[in-house]
Amino acid sequence: MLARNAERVYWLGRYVERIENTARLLNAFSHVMMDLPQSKKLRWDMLLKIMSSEQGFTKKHDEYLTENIITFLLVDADNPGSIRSSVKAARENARTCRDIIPLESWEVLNELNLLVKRSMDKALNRRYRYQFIEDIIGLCQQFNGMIYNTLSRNQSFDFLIMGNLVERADMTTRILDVAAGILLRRNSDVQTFDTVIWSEILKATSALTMYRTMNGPRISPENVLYFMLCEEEFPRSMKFCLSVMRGLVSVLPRNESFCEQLSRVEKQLALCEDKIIIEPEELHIFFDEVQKGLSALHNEIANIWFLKAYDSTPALSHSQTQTQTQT
Amino acid sequence: MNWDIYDSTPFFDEVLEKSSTPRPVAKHLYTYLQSLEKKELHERKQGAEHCIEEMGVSFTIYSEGSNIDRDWPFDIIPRPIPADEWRQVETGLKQRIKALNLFINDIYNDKQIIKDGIVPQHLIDGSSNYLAPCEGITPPHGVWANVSGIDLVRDGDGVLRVLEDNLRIPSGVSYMIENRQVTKRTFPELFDSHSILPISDYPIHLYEMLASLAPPEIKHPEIVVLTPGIYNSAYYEHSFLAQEMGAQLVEGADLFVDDEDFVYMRTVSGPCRVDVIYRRVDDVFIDPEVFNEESMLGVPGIMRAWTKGNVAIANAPGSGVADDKAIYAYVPKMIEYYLDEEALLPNVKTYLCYEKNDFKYVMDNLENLVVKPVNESGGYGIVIGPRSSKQEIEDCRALIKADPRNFVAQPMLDLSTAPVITDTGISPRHLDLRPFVLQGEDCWVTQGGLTRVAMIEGSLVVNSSQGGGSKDTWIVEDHEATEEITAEETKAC
Repeated sequence: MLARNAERVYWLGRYVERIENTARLLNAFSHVMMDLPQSKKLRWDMLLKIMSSEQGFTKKHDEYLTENIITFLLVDADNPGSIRSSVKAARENARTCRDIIPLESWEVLNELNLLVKRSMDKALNRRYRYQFIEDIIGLCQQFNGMIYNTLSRNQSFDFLIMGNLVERADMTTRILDVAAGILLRRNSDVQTFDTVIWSEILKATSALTMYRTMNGPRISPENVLYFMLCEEEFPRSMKFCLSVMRGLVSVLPRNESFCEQLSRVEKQLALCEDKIIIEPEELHIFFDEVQKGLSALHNEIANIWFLKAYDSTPALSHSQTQTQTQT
Repeated sequence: MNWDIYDSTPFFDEVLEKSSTPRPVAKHLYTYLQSLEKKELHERKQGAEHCIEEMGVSFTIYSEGSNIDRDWPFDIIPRPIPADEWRQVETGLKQRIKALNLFINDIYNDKQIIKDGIVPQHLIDGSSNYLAPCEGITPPHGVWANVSGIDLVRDGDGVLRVLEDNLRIPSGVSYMIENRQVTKRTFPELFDSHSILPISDYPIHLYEMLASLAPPEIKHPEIVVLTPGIYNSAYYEHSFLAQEMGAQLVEGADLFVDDEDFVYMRTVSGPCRVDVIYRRVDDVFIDPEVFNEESMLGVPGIMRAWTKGNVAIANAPGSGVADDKAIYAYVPKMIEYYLDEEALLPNVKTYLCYEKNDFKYVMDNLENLVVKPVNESGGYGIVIGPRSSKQEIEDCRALIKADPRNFVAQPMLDLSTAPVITDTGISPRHLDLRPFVLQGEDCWVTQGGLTRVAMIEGSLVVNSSQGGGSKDTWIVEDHEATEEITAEETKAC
């Protein structure tokens, strides 16, 4: 396939995954806040930390008010990480490679775009927000279902799913990093509510039911971290993402350096597999390393297979602008 | 919404102190509802109904023939209870369950309480819930009633009283959890201005309690939920709890007992040992070898496994002996007898028809009393004197005369009310409260419980099988510091 198209479907995969993850995160967070007593609430800017968009936020707003943060993450066109921006970017990438993805999946993205456009204002009202977010999640899943069931297992599929997986692994580690950073450092008097919070974190990654079938309902930070990072059977765990990536890449040409980098990330993960890290400082360093590893994986993909591979001069191309908006 | 349209009642109202003054615990709720237009309130009601359909919350009414699944009737206005009041109720419930379990264990073993003349022997002899095959057994931690639903009512003076102990297979806890989910979607704003204690951790506590029944050497016990199947009225709850606990939901046919009296479930990978069974099948159906031999719902040999201690069953077979409505009258005495304490939660005055004086009183005052068969549950067979025809009262009189042991009578209660949304506006309805108590190695009580409402005007029957609905129950923390933060935050949003 064209290197240009490979890059587009890859980003399409990433954005769709990002939209769904952000939506889930917002719903889970709203939910957990209702369960926490006044004095023990979390801070909404935790979400900005997870999305790495604190800087963008403080440029526009002076105060971390709940409504501002939600608006910023949901519908702010100036925030490249908002759901609205991601929907636009997903659709834009799909628009330029319509010939290689199933027609219906393109239509779903249009529907998603229309939903955001039409219901944006209404969604800022708390009462409708839940439904709005659920609808977004539903459309993302519809898109993914179509990809899995109607797209040939060709290179378009490979790159689209690679995009999915890189984004998913990235988001999972971000959520866990920030959440663990806050929860494991809290005073013991507020920790009674931590079970509620950890279970919402599982919900944010649609992992709750599967976690329970593995571990029963007992929720401990160790088990949650292990499940999200190292569980082999769960399709959203970091380990699963990496192993699917390896399978996809095995049929792509010139994959050696990617596979080497993949092995490095797997090795980092193995550190946690032997004994789950729970000490906050150490855990943060671990996540930092894993994220660097993931970002290196992304760079490998871009350097080996995308248009960039043909560039002798690293000029600012379209692809790089997109890369900059990824976080 | 204008509270003027709410007709005040002569009863204790959970939300309003006087016709236009909210109780302190309901202050925010009152002003919030006041701020909503009537139209908006109805929209939210519809939203909640839609949400219930979407979540698939349903229950079954046996008399409805082929329609086995019905949406859960729910009123969107929550029922608030102050946290400090709840803490006292919680202590009272723990005390009660402790005594009841000591009683059951005593009855199946030494029968000391009978020997000491506190509870009459004939009550046990006449009880259909007393199961002789359970004699001589002491289940783990000496506990028989592991999951109990204690029905509380608030009387005219605002005092919470125990109306019934449900110690067999009480249901409703899934609705308690789902009600909260619906309320969060219906009134998300209310959760900003209140500190409402979360309730979603029930399944974790249930799991921990069940795990505490397994032999201590088993680190990860295999726990299953045993359901009678999809035709049971509480099937929704069985699957809900299994899912929330990550436990297998099994039917009798999924289990078998081997020659060495161990219980296994039939899995794809071969037989798998089961350590703890949370049974939602009536005890007389659990083992055709011992009890009802026609039963297709049970597992032949399961009682052998249980008596040998090879499997734990919750609630223990035979626990129903203490949820007999005549035994109920003796609970305050039990608490004194076993714990040497005064009962913290009062009972409702109960006349025992087998006692001479009580019998006479009941016969003379039948038209003013509520008569209940002692071994029934779910509100079946209850006769409410003031609401019955002459013929019905005479029929009831004949039944009592034929078998006085089988009936108790209670005065008409001034059950408390709370506002519910009706087609015409807002109106008071009677309600009760069923908290759930878990007793294994430790004792734990839900924060609040399931509030059941008689949706029909004036009705006192709250059972879902008889047209009752329910409400979300809030245990509300209330302290000055909280108030200030709330005010600021509300402004900020």
